[in-house]
Amino acid sequence: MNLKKVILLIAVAALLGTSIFAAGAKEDVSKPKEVTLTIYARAYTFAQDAPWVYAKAELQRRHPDINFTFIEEGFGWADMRTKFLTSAAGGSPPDVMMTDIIWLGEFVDSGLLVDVTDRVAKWDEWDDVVDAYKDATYWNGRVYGTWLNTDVRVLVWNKDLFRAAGLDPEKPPKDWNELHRMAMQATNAPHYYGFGFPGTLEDESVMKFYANLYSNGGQILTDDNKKAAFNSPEGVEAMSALIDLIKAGATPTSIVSGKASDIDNGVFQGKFAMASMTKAYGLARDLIPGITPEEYKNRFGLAPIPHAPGGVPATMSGGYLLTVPTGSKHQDLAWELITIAAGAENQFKYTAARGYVPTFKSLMARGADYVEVDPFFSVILDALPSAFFRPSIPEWTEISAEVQNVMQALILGRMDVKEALDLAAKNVDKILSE
Amino acid sequence: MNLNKNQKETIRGYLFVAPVLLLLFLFSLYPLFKTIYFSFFDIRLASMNRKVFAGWKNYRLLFTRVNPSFFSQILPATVYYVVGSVAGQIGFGFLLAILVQQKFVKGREAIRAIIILPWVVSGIIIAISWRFMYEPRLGVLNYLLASMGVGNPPTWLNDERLVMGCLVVANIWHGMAFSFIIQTSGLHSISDEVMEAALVDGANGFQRLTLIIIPLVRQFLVLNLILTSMATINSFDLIFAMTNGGPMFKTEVISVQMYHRAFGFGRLGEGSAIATIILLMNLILTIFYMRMNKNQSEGGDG
Repeated sequence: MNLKKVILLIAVAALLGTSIFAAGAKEDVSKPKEVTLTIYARAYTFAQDAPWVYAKAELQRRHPDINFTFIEEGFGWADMRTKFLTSAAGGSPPDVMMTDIIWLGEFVDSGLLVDVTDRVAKWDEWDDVVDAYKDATYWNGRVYGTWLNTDVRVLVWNKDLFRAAGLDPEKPPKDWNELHRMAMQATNAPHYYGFGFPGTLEDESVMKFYANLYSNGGQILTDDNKKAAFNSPEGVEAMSALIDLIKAGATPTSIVSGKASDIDNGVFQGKFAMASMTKAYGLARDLIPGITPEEYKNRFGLAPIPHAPGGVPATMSGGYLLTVPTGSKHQDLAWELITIAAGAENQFKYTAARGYVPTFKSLMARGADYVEVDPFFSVILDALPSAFFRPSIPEWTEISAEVQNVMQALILGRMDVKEALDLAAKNVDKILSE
Repeated sequence: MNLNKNQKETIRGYLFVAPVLLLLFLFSLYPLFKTIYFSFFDIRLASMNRKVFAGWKNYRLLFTRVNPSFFSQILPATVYYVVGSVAGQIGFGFLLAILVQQKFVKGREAIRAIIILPWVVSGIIIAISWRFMYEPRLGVLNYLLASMGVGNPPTWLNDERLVMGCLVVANIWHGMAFSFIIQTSGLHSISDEVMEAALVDGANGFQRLTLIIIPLVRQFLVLNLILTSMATINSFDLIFAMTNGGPMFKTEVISVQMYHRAFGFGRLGEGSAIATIILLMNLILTIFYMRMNKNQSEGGDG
């Protein structure tokens, strides 16, 4: 091949290449940009319009130049944390992570969440967030997400089982003594039992103990979070109040493998006369299709968790933040999706539908709107001032597991309460000292 | 470079196996060495880039932790689960294979297909099904017991004395089909002439089983033993979905403990140390079985 031919070939190739590039560039302008956003959240959040369906549609409306693909992965509580940690370790975390407030310290300390302090400052709804909840989004002085919802545990009782036991269906127990007496009276073993609480290895199992603990003047850890404090005399009484229900036969030992959802559902299915739970109305609607607020009010009741005799009302609070993982390739869009999903308008729809608690001042003031959807919403709101949070320290998962382990031994009657709590406290101290 | 024919053949041979060796390295050897490497570091799942050399600490923690204790809880649970499952799966699989092999059995292919069904079902589905069977109030078992007049039926998975037995039964049901397939192949390898000769010599059923069938299918039994033992030591899904190691660590076998440490608590270093121990257990068992088989083969030859 001579030189002329070579030059000619190169020129033709260059011309072709330029034309193709130009055509491609032209096509880029006309074709919307493709963006995939992955969301890790509790499975039930995808089963209703709020928050995600509305949020996705709104994000798409705001960005007509982008063609969004949303990958939604729904999980149970423990699986969600494991899946997030493994995906982050594998370098492919989601773009939006629904983070339980107790995981915040662990995730932030491990560098897994994006600091959104500057972003919330620019978000016009941030000032509307209740100050106490706003504070809980901070870790080491920086903000790492915003609330999708919070919750509080309240006592739920089945009025039909109360009537069958000759109890006044409108009068729930107020303290541990009344709870014990009424649970005994409402028990018709093995058909149904007076009181249920979960015993399987999950955080929700020990929440019942923590509520009793705070009610009795105790606390989970010392103020500096350096040592266990739940094995105090107040702690022993708090745990005994639960274990005595098993000894008395008002709670079956089979709860040792009962998940919180099994126990909570059991109240609506007539297996337990009472249990403390969150999102009661959402569960009732899931289990009894077509139940109206009026029917719900006639068949079930909500009241504050019975307190320690001479103690204070106490309940446990939790909830989820929506966060942006550091490995997200679309952090701005992910944050925008979060502000829509967790914004006041969407949060109202989501929390009202499931019986959760909002975190915006403007929504707290809309109690009447909530009561229209959930007739017992005022009970939930009234419980808020007595709500306690678990420490969201990085070691929490292991600490909680130690208490869960001894609680199983107590449910099965294999240990004495003091001995069990001391053992758990010893292990917790070891974890905290590492 | 001048290569003779043999050298060219050798190189060609290596080239043919190279893709498989590469895959083996990528998906088996590399993760294996990485796991052993991780087992000597304090490394968290949440922050894998921040690892600190820990020496034998992760191994020491496994053997010195009190709740659950390796020697009084994890190891006994693992041995119970493995021995019970392996004995049951091979025993029942072998028995079924012999029964189905009998000449009077009609519709053998259909029966084989039915027996194999549990094996092709996912472990999680099996676990959910068995959980329902064992459910104290609504489960099939207690329904049957109640209908037979048993007033206070067991709570199965909630009873620390029964729970491991319940898991073993479920696992035998799940894995028996695999033994059935292997033992059926073994029985097929025995020629009809041998069995006919035994009949002519007047050997009864028990003698044919112990003196002819078992010695002739020994290789299949050993293979079955190795594969089933390894699968059971490593098995995780059934226990995880049925009991998650509880109650009170009664079903916390070593594979479940590995999951809890590595993924539940995010202590990847500890999880890797447990995985290395599981690997050693598999290795010891395999060497033991292979030696046993070798000794018996040599004994038989002499």
